[in-house]
Amino acid sequence: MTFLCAECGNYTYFECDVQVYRSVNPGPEGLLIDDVLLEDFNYSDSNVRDELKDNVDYLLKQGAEAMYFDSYSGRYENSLISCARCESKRITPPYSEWTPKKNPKSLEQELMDNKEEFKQLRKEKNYYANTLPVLYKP
Amino acid sequence: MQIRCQSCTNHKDFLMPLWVRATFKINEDGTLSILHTKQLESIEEKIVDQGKTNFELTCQDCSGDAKVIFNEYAKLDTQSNEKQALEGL
Repeated sequence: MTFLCAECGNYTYFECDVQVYRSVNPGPEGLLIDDVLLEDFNYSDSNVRDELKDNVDYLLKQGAEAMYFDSYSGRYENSLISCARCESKRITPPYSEWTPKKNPKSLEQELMDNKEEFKQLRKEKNYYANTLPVLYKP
Repeated sequence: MQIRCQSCTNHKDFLMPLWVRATFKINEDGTLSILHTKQLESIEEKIVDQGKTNFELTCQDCSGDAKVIFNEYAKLDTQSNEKQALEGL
């Protein structure tokens, strides 16, 4: 379950407003409106998919923080995704999904384990401060 | 009607952004399937408003603002009318 509608319990069908680019070609018979076709690539199609995925990922990452208080309805709503069944904007990831991340080892332990690799990286790094200044040649 | 780019010489390919409402389904594996898209804006209105309240019609080659000329023969009509008037005199 990715999202849950707090009004009707729907967790499958949602709606989202996205921007799509259309190609406008003026011709002798009028305007020809079509998808934006680049070389073997439909920009209009991928634009819709990418923007939809961006909105879903944003809402998943932000969780309840993406919701704002709507003074008109007196409820917390989000501005990106609404329910396709009841048109409610009270869509959030289910709270039960949130759990503290259990990492196999602490950050300090990880830093200690990777100490030698980091030392090697520092040796390979180019320091501009170690190079001699060069005279400017116009 | 003619559309011309104000930055380059392109008069063929232009881009117009439009808001659409996508109805989608979240599959069990987490992927998204788009079921339907509904256009929320009128492309004709946006073209008519081009240069007045918005500059959303842009050139596909250089991204410059496009200029919409609704009656490209208006100037020719005026010129021919003036010519006929002069001939009449």
